[in-house]
Amino acid sequence: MVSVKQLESAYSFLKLNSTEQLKWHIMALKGSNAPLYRLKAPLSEEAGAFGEFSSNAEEGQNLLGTLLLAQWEDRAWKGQLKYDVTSCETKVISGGMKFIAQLNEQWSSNSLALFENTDIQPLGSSRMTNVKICRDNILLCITRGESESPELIPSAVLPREGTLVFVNANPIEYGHIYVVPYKCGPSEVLDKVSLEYISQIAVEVDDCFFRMFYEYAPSTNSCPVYFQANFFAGALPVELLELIPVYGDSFEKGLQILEVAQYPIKTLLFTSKENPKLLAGVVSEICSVLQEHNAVFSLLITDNGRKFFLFPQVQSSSTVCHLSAWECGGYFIFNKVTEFEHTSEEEISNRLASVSLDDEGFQALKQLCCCIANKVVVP
Amino acid sequence: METNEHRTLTESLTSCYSDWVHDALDDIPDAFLITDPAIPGHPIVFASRGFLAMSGYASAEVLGRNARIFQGPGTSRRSVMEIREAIREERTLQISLLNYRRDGSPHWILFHLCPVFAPGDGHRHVAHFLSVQVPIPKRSRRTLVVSTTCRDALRMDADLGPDLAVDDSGLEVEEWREAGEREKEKAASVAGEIVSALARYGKLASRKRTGVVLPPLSSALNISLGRIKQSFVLTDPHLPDMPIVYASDGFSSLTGYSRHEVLGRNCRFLNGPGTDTKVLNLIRDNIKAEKASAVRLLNYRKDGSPFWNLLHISPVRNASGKIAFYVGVQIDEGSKSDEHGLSPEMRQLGAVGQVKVAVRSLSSGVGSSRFSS
Repeated sequence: MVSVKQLESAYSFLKLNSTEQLKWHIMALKGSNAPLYRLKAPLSEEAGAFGEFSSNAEEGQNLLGTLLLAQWEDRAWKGQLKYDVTSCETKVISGGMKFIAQLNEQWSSNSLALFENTDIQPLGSSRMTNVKICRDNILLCITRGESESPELIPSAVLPREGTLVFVNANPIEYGHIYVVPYKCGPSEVLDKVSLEYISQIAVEVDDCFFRMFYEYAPSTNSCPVYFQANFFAGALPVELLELIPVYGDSFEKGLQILEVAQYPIKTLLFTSKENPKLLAGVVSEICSVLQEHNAVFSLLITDNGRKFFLFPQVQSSSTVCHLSAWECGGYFIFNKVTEFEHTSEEEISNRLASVSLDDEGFQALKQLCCCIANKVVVP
Repeated sequence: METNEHRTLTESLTSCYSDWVHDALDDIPDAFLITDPAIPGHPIVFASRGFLAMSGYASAEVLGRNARIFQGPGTSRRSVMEIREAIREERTLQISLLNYRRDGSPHWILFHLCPVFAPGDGHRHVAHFLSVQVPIPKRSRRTLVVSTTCRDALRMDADLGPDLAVDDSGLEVEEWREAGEREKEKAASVAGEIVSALARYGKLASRKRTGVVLPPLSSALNISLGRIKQSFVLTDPHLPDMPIVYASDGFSSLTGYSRHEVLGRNCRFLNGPGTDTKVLNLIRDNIKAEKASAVRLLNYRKDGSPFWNLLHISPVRNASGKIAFYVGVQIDEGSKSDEHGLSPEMRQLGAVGQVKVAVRSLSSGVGSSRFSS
C-alpha cells in the first residue's frame, strides 16, 4: 500500500498541466489503431431507457467479454505482462468472512507507478500516471453504437470520443484492465454519462465473473476518471453477506438501496433488477455529491452491472491509507510469504474498519442517498 | 472393498474387452497379474489362478492393491526402480525379482512386464500392464550377501521357511538368482498368449474411462466450462499419458467424437498419416517447459476426414498457482469470422482466457491437494 502523500511527492513533477497532458495524450493516441467495439444502441426513453439488462447468452457468444479475454490472453502470451498472475497462490482466510488473500511477490502499488519510457505521455497526473501506457497496451476502444446488436471493427482509428481499455501489466488477477472514458479531454468527475457508459460495458461484457472498480480520493487532484476491471471466478467476500433494506423494495421495478450487514467497513449496495440507466443515474449523482464534499470512496460493480457497492472511507490523513475497491471487497494482496501465511480475519477486519465511516457519518450518508434516490426516481 | 471401487476394477477390463474376458483369462494356468495405470494407485485388476496358487493370496486380497505388496526387505531397490521406469516409458521389461508370498516366505521369479494397448483406438494407448511371473529354480549355491554365518547359509539353502530370508541380525541373506533362457522364453510365450487372448475379446469402441476412473471435475468447474462454446479439451498432466478430463460440445461437433469416447484418452487419436511429428515434438517440449504452443497440425475426424487444426495449447493454473491442466483449443483452419467480426483466432484466445478464469476459481475444487498424493 502506498499512501496518497507518497504518490503525490513521487509524482509531483507530473502534476502540472495534467489536463493538457491528457488531451495531448489522447490526441497522440488518436493516430493509433485498435479493435473498435460499438455498444448496442440505447433504446428510447419510452422503451425503458437503454433498457433492460439484456443478455447475449442466447446467441451463444458474448462478444465484448470474449474480445476482452482474447486481447488480454494475447498480451499475456506475448510476454507483455510483468508476471503470470495465475501462478500466484490465493487462499481463503479461515473465519466467517471468507476474506481472500493472494501471495504476489511482484505486485506493488509502487511498481505500478514506475512508468517506463514510452512513445506516449502518461494519462494525466496522479494515480493514472502509474500506468505504463504504450500503444501495445491498448486492448480495444469502446464507443457508442447505433445498431441493435453490437459491432466489432477488428482495426479502426480511435474515435473522437469513447472508452479506452488498457491491459494492466501488473495484474491483481486474470484479465486486469484499465477502462478510461474520454471525450475531448478526460472527465475529472464521475458524471452520469461516464457511469452510464461504464454500466453499459458491464452489461455487455455479460460475464458474471467480470468486476469493475473505481476509486476516488480528493487529494489526488485533477485525476481523470478511470476504472479498473478484472475477472474473479467467484464472489468477493462482501458479495456474500446479508443485506438490510434502506430504500425501495426488491419487488419494485426501480431502485433498491441496501446496507451490507456485519461487514467491518460500512457499505451500501445499490441495485436495480431492470433499469441500469436509473441505477447509474442515482449512483453518479451520489458520487458527485461525495466528490463535491471531498469524500474518499470506492465503487465495486458486479453481477453484469446490476449491483454497485459503495465503500465510503474516512478522510485521508498521513497515517491512514485508502483502500482499493478490491480491498474493500475483501481481497488483499501480500508481497511477503510470512505476511500471507500469518494474516488473519482479525487483521483484515481491522484494516477495513480503520477506514470505515462511523455510525453517525454512515447514517448521514444513508439519508443523503435516500434523498437523492427520491429526487432521481420520482420525477 | 467398497462397491464403487470394486466396479471400477471390474470395469477396467470389461470396458475394453467383452464380459467373457475374465473366463478366458481364468483358462490360462500361468501366474500373471493385470494392472491399470489410469486408476489412482495403479492397482491390480486381475490376478490369475496360477498367481494366487504361487503367492498364497486370495483374489479379493490383491485386487485393487498395488503390486508392491509382494515386495519385501530382500527385494532389490534397483530392480524396483527399473520396473517403475519401464512402466513410465511403457515398454517391455524382463527382470529377476525377489517377491514374498502371503506367509512372508521369499521366492525368486522372472518378472516379465509388458504394456497392453487398448483395442478400441488403433492400439495407440496403453490401457493396462501385464506382468507374467515365472519361478526361477535354484541353480548355484553362491551366496552374494557375505555378512552371514555358515549355519545361516545352510538354513537358507534348505529353503525351510519364511524366517530364513533374514538372519538374526536382520540382514538379507537370500542368494541372487538369475533367470535362464528357459524362464525368459516361457514368460515371453505366456505373455504372448495372454495378449492374443485379450485381443480376441477386445471391443472395437473402447468404453473405457467414462468418468468412473477419472477424478471427476467439480460441478462448479463443469458449469463454468459448459458456458464455453469453442472446441476445447482439458488434459491432466498429473495422470499417466495426460488423458483428456474434459471435452466441450464444440469438440464433439468439430471432431465427431462424443465426450465419452475421448475422456481418459490421450489427444493423439486425432493424429494420423501426415501428422507432422516435428510439430508433435514441439508441443511435447513446450509442455515439458510449461509453455504455451500455437501450431498447425493435420488431424483426423472420427469419420476419417482430415482437417488442419490451428491448435493452441496452454498451461492452466488453479487457485494455488499450480498447473492443474493443459487446455487445447482447436480451430478448423477453414472456419471463418462470426457474424460480429470476431475472428477464429480471437475466439480461440477468448476460450483460453475463459478456461483460465474458471480453473483459477477458489470454488472450482481444483486444489493442490488433489495432486499431492
